[in-house]
Amino acid sequence: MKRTLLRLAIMAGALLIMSSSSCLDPNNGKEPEIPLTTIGTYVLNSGNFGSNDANLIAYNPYTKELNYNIFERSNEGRKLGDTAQDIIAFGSKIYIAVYNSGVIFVTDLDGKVIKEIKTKAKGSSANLSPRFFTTWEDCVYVTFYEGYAGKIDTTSLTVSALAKVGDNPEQIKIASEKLYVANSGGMNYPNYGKTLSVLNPVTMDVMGEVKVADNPVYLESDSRGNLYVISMGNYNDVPSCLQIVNPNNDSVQKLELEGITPTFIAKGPGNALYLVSSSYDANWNLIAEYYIFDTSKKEIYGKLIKDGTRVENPFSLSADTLLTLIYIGTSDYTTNGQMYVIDAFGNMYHAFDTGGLNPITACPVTTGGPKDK
Amino acid sequence: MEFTFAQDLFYNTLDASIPECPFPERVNSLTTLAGKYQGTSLTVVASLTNTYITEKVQKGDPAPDRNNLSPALSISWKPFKATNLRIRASYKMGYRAPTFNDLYYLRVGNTNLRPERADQYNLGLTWNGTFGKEGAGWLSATLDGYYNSVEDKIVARPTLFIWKMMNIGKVQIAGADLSVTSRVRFGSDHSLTLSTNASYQYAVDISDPESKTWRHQIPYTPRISGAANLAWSNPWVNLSYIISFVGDKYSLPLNVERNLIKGYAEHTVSAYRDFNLRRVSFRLQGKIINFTNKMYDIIQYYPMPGRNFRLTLKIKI
Repeated sequence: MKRTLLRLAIMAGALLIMSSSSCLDPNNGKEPEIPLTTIGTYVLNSGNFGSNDANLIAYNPYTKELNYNIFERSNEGRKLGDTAQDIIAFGSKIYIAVYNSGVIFVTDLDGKVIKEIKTKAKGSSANLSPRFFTTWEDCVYVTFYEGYAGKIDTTSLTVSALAKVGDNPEQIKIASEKLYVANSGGMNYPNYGKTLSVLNPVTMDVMGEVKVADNPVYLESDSRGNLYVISMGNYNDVPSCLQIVNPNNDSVQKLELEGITPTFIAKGPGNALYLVSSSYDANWNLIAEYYIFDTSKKEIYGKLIKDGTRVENPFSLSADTLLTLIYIGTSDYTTNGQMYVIDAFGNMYHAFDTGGLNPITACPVTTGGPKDK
Repeated sequence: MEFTFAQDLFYNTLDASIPECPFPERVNSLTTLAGKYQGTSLTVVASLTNTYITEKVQKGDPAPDRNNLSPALSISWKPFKATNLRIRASYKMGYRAPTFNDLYYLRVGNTNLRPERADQYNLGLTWNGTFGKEGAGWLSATLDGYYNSVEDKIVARPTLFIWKMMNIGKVQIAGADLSVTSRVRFGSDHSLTLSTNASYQYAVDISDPESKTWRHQIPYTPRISGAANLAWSNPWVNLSYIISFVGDKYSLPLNVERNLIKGYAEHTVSAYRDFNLRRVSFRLQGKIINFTNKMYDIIQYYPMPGRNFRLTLKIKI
């Protein structure tokens, strides 16, 4: 709710007030130096496909307060829609991709809708289904499952350019000023996609392709400008794997990680990447383990959870690099998800019911820093 | 006493053009021995069914052989000679072996499935009789109480990667059904018929006490539902009024506000008349369905039509 996020904002102190006063500018037009601060976290529940039950909750990582159904409460009971897929905070706005409703909601920091973006491909009347976001410079980028990558102009809040990429693109990420899109080909079983599309993030021209292992889905960049790719394999005899793409020459290195079948990846502070490894036994019981990966040595640094907390049925992995909090969303696909928040020491900081099905992302909302808008 | 013996043998195969198709073959034998005793006031039917299934595949592992004996018993007793009252009781053990789709369907299938089993108990009363002058009125009533428990339900469940068939959980169902039908004749060619039924169903998930859905009503199963139909047949235009009522239900296993589908009552009026022209018979019927214009969903977020009109002409040559 409004009040909560306002309260969260107060936690960031007077910094906010200074940065938002535009008419009485004490800094003579120069951006004041404000450290980047987390003011709250949104948790997006994807919901059950076809059930129109996606929803958004606000989490205060300082007080551990929860506010359920923020979207509905900020928009006169309006529902978020069917199968929310991704959420990203950029500047003073939140972008929410609702896949099966074919809409991107742009909201203010309280979740109040400013604009609905519906995108159509040339010659088609159907709305494209947004999948994942990333940001770079002044822009937000988005993939559409029908095979497109779009660039969202954050001033006019429109998709200003649309590029054709491979089939069923999943995550999208910038590494060394190149825009990569994972062409999963997830709907083409057994012929999964084997490429990343490489785009110029300014012109949205397709510059080429990088060949990777079957079914690339998750992308993450590290502090040295390398791109990490998880290819999910065919969920049968081809296991998932982690690969590193060097954006200088687009060479791919496949990492051999003993006993690890990577399924989720998230960027931590410094050299840290967080990894979830999940596999199923013969009776389809999920076996999950959580790791920290060191990008300087390109090897596993250690376990992510050190206090013995059992986190079963992982469904998503997100991180707040400022507070060094790791969010592991879990789901049994029928009941409300559970969010486990792990601190920098590998101890469980908090666990809570997400108030919806399939918590797909925890999205820290920040203020201050060089990119504040 | 009567006995029957039945032996059925099935042979099933599945061919598909997909690369992973294991081309399963199944031999299924069903053997039933049943006995029936019919006395003046007591009828007893008992049966034993043996299911034997064996499968062969060309790729991978076949499902294990299955052998199951399931009994069934039903008793119907008329305790008083003078009244048409019957007391019924039955027990049945249900057994459902996984199908080819459950076992071998591309990626979704799971050969480790166990068969689904159910115990079904039923206790019921039936009464019918006439009343009034010269039997002008007639009434029939049934009341049934039942208890079912289902174990190892076979359901498709999503995993992190793909959907998979699994044996999940236990469901307990306790319910009662009541139905009453009565007809009264008056005048030379008038009659009023009232038929009503009402059901109560407590169908809950009892798979895991730790689960968030422990003892929650299973999806799309209202606790209460019912219907009533009042019809007046007369020489001019036959009229009827129908109310159907469905109580609150949930769209997903978790019984929370978000998944609630509100109960509703739908009212319909109908009028019809039969007539003949030469040798052709006609029925002209007019209906106002949902005439209170109630907005409701059967499937969540798929609204049903509001007030609607229907005019039907049936011609019989």
